[in-house]
Amino acid sequence: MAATMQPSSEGNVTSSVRVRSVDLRSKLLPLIGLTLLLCWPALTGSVGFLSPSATYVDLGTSTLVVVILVYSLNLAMGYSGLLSLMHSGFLGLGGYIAGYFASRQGWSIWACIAVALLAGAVVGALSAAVSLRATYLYFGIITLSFNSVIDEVAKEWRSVTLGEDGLSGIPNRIDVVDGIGNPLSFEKWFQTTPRYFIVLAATLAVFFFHRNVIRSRTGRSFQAVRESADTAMALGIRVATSKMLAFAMSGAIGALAGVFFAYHRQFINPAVIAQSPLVLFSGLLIGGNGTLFGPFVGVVLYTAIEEVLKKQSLIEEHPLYSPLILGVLLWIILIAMPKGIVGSFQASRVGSRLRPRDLGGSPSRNSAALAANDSSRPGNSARSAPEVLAWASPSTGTHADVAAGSPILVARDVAKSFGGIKALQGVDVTVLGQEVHGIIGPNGSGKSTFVNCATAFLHRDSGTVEMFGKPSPQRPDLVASAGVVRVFQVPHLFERVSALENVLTGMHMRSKQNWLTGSLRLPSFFRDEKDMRAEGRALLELAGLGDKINELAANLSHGQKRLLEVARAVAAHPKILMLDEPATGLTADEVASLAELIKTLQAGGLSIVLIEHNVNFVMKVCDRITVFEQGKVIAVGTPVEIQSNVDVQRAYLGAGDVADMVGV
Amino acid sequence: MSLGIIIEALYFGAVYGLIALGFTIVFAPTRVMNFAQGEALVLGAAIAFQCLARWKWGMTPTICALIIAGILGGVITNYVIMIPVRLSGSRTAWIIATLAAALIFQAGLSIWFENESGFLQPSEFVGGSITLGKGPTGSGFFDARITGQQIFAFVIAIVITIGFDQFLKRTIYGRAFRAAAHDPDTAQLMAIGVKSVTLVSFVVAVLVTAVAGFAAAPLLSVAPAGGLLYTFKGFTAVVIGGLGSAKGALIGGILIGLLETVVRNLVSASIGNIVVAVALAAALLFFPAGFFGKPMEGH
Repeated sequence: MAATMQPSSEGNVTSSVRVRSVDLRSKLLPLIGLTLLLCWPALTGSVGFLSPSATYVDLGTSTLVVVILVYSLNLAMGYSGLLSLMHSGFLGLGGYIAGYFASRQGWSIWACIAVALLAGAVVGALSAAVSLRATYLYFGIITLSFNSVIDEVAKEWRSVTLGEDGLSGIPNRIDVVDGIGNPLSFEKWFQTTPRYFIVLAATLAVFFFHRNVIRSRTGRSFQAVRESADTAMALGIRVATSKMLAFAMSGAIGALAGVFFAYHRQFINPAVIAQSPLVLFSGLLIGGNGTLFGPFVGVVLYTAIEEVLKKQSLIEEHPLYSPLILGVLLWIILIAMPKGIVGSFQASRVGSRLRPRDLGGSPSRNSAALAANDSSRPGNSARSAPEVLAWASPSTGTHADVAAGSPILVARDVAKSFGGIKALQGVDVTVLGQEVHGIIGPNGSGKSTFVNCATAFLHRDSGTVEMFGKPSPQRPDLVASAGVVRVFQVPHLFERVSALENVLTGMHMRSKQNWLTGSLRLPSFFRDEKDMRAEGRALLELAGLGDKINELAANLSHGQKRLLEVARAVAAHPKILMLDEPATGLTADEVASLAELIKTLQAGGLSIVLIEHNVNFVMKVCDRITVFEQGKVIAVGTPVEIQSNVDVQRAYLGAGDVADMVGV
Repeated sequence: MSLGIIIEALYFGAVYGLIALGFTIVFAPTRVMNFAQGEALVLGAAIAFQCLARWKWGMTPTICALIIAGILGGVITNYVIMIPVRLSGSRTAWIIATLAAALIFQAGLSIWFENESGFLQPSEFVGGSITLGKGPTGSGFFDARITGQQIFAFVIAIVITIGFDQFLKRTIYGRAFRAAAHDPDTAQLMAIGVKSVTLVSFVVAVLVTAVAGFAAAPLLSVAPAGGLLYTFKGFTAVVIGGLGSAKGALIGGILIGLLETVVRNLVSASIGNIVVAVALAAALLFFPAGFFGKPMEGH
């Protein structure tokens, strides 16, 4: 064993050294950007053609305010798939809060920020809550109407907002309390350059918050919902909570941008809200929707183009040509870089090497053993449970209540009709602890409908389903947290992220992170993340995908995708794993490794329900089989019993010997 | 509150309905919500203004100019929007592509009428009027004056909507349209040229909306840069009516027109806008696919 380990560990060392140097390079561009940002006031002062410098420092501040707003949009639209047309409304909300409380009530900026964050979060969460049923485009349209509500309220609520005129003369003051509690007024200090740095600090804070959220359990659930709400639910993610949290965060950041807008420009009026959504969407989509640096790059480029255009003599004479040229330029950029600048760069050869990847790292103590477990590869050990499955072991694991051979999933008389078609006409299925239970039947016999009814993806018309002695929950995500996790018939992977990220998303239900520990990167986040990554790597090894850890899921072959889906479902630590036709479209080799994997999982202590067409495969791996025909159960028994059952033979062949056909 | 207000609501609604129809026609095969749709309305009004008010042309050459401009506008819109959308393959590219198209058209129209300070409003070119009761000066409900132009704008909208609906249902081209809308890939396999269907959709959509702009130009106050405003009205109408339905587009447009005009006259203009926005949100909450749309169309 030592001999076989040697080359691979050497390979790991060299590759990780190479990968680390790439990783340093991947920090290079952001560092250059940060340096430029820090030096911006100095640059404008020293470079002649940018004078007068104060104007350009202020331009930088305004740009950063828009960058904050576009990061907020990126969180909603890029990472959570929530098309928002109300972000200028969030800007206005924060702006009016700052304008009213600072200019009329004399509040400090800190109080305004706190109120704006809260108000933005509440408005965001409520907007998402009332539009949960809406699909992508309609969500956008509902947010558009909320945007006009905010806009009209700003115009009409004259006692607070002063109508069309808006609030002006917002004090440029930042109060900081000194050691003995006396306020220090920074009125003079809050001039052009210091103001730039304050907004820059806020922008960096928003950037890191946004990045940390994306790379945590919370962000993974956002992205899972974006890719497929059904898959997210099957992994125990609450779609409603996820959407509301995402939009609340986005709204809070949007309102924060509004506060800085009001403080920086010293006014707020309805025209700010009604301003064209162009800069928001251009900034996001030119930079790269759903990328970390896209919003920054896009907004800076957009502002730069706008400023350069203003200086041209043609535009100075004919200002109407400015939008025409801007529109054409936007269009050309969109054609040249359809995924946005950052998105297209990441997809390019240079950029794809800079993609963050899991370098292995050192797993924490309790998971070190399982990552190194050599017996975990299928083929080496069909029947011995590797340590990565220790949680499922009935004697030591967390699922000790699932005794072998006792009924854990009992469906009685389940019926479901689609209009006039009776897909299920009262079926009984009993799954026993730690068995591989096959459900077979001809096309249209109701197998998949049964799985959908059992996992609450469909409402059954009648009948009961008990899981572990309790009535089964009525929502897919609750079924998942009760311990029944399913895999869909068609691969539902999160294609835009790596195989490891897919598996980490599967761990949603057990992860101890929440949005606060994740966004602040508290020590508990790192502990949890380290353990999850180690287990994720071990699981991928177990599924035979050890060399694909950092591969984008979209780049895997069909067979690898199926295996990855199983690994992702296992990562949720289910008691029962339901696989809906996992062998469809696999090669013979891939079917064999899938069979090995199923046997390994069973040996680890899992119970598995296998819906399948491939009779050969079913006969090989299943302990017991239920046969469906036209929405009814026609036989239950061991593979041998099923093969000799006359009804089954008739269902499959009309008449004759089924055993000859399946070749067992 | 009088009959005059209802009539105003009806022809405003008819115009919104034709913008909405343009949205639906383009959305079906492309899944693109064309934010430049309102520009087609401005184009129609611009042709009417240029030919009738400035050049004093007769009706026939003006209509020819309108058709040529509509077709050209449709072809240009098609390429400006669809090239980036096809290249990108993402489901957000249409936003920026259609916004860029709107920006380009808006700028173009503004430059065209750079020296025009007011609206693109020729005098009414359909004569005749009916006076009911004491006419607009009276205070009773039935005291109103209906002009031929108002009837013309409304009837044009009804005729176009019914015509398009029948075209979709009765002709082989309509079948190709619907097939391309349902599943472009499969339609392609059935030898339906999805790209040509898309091109024709853009042309028809721009023509339909331009005709609305032409017919209603004397009644509306269309500014050269005012397209986006009408885009959002049509957008609201198509959402309430339900994407994918010609009848729904017209009814949605008339509902928006009624709601807006009646509330504006009874309460105030600004409250009218709030009511429309809230009504839209409410309609979507209870009918997520609009009143006449199919649930899947929202994807």
